[in-house]
Amino acid sequence: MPPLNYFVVESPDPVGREAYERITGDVLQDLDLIKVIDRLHIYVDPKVPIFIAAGVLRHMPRSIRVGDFANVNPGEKLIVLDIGDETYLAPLLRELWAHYGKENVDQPDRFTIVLPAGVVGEEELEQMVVADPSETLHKDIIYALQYIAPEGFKVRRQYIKDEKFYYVASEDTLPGDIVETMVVPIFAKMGVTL
Amino acid sequence: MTTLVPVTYKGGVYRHDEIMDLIDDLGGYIVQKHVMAQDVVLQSFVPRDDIDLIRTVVKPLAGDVIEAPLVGTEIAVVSPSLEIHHLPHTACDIAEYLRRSGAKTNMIGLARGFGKRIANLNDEERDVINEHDLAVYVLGNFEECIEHKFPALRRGIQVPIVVTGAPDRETLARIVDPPVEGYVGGVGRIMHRFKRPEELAKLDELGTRSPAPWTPGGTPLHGTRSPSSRPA
Repeated sequence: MPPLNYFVVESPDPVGREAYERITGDVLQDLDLIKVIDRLHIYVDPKVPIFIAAGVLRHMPRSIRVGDFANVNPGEKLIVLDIGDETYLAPLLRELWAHYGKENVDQPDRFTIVLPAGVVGEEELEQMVVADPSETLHKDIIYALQYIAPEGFKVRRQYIKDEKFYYVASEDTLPGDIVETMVVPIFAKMGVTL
Repeated sequence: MTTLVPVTYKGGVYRHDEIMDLIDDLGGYIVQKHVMAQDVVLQSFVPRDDIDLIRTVVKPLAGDVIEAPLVGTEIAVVSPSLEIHHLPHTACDIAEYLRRSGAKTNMIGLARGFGKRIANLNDEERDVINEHDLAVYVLGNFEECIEHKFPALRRGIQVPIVVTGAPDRETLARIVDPPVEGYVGGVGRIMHRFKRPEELAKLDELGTRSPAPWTPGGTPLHGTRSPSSRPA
C-alpha cells in the first residue's frame, strides 16, 4: 500500500473494506497521487448509503514563474528570454501576448523570446506567474476520489482548499449538515481541524 | 457410439485446410474459425478417440490441440456500466478467460446497472442477454448492494446465470434468491489486471463454475442442448 502517513478505510462490511483499501491503493498509484497525499481516511457504508473520503495533502506545488524556467537577459534595445524548459512555453507566450501584444513578442527560435526593452522590467518579468499546477492537482484528486467511490453514488459534495480536502457521495440526497456530523469527526480522527 | 469433445486448435495458416479436412473426415465439425494474421484458431468438436491422431498430424505443423469445454457457447459478460469503475479490468479479464476455454463472449455494459437502489435493466438489455447461452454478472464489493440490486438486474433473464462479486461464494449463494446456476466469490471491483495467483485461481474457478451446455463426456448439464442439436 502507498506510503501515506495515515491511511484508513473504515466500513461495516469487512470484505468491502478490504476491497476499497485495494481500490484506493491502485487508483492513487495509477494517477501518481501517492506522493501528493499525506493523510487519507475513507468511510464507506452501503447501508446508509454514504461514501466519505477526507484527507490532507502533503504540500501544494507553488506557482510557476518565468524565472523558474527561463533566463531574462535585458539589453539596451531588447530583452531576451532564454528558455531552459519548454514545458511552460505555451502558457508563457499566451501571457506575454496578453500583456504586451503579439506585435511586441518575437520568437526567433524555439528557445528564445525577444521583447523590446522598456515594455517590462527584468524583475517584473522574472516574477510573472505563468502556470498554477495546483489547479490540475485539485482536479486530479477529485477525479481519483470519484473513481474510488462506488459508481452509483452520484450525489456528491466536494471540497478542496489549501491542504485539506473531502469528498462525500451518496445515492440519496445528502443531508445539509453532513459535513458537520460526519466529515468533521473524520478529520478529528486524523488530528486535523476542518 | 462416437463421443464428440470440444477442442481448440491453434496453429499457423500454413496447411490449416488439411486440419479442417481431417476434422471433417473424422466426423467432427468446426464451430468457428478465426484467422488472425499468421495464426488460425479453430473451435471444433472432434471424436474423443481421434484426438491423439489429430495431435500426431498437427505436430509437424507446430499446431496445438487444447481441450476447450466451452466451445460452441456464447456467453454474455454483464457489467453494471461502461464507466471506468467497472471496466476494463475485471470484466475484460473474465471475458478473456472464458474465450480461452472456447466460448464466444460478448461484453454487455448496462445503461443503469450501477447503484443499490437505482440499478435497473431495460428490455433491450434483457433481450440481448437472453440471446446468449449463459450470463456472467460481474458485480461489486458490497454484499448489501448485490443483495438489493441483483433482483433488478436478473429480471426477465431466462438463461443460466453465474454471479461474481467480492463476498465469498457462500455469502453470494445466501443473498441471491432464487438461486442461480453458479457463484464465484472474491472477485468484485478490482482496479488492476488479474495477476496474483489467487486472482488467477478465481478465473479458473469461473471457468469451472460456468455451466457448459454439455460436458465433454456428452452429458447435457441443462438438458437444453446436446451436440446433435448444435448447428454444424
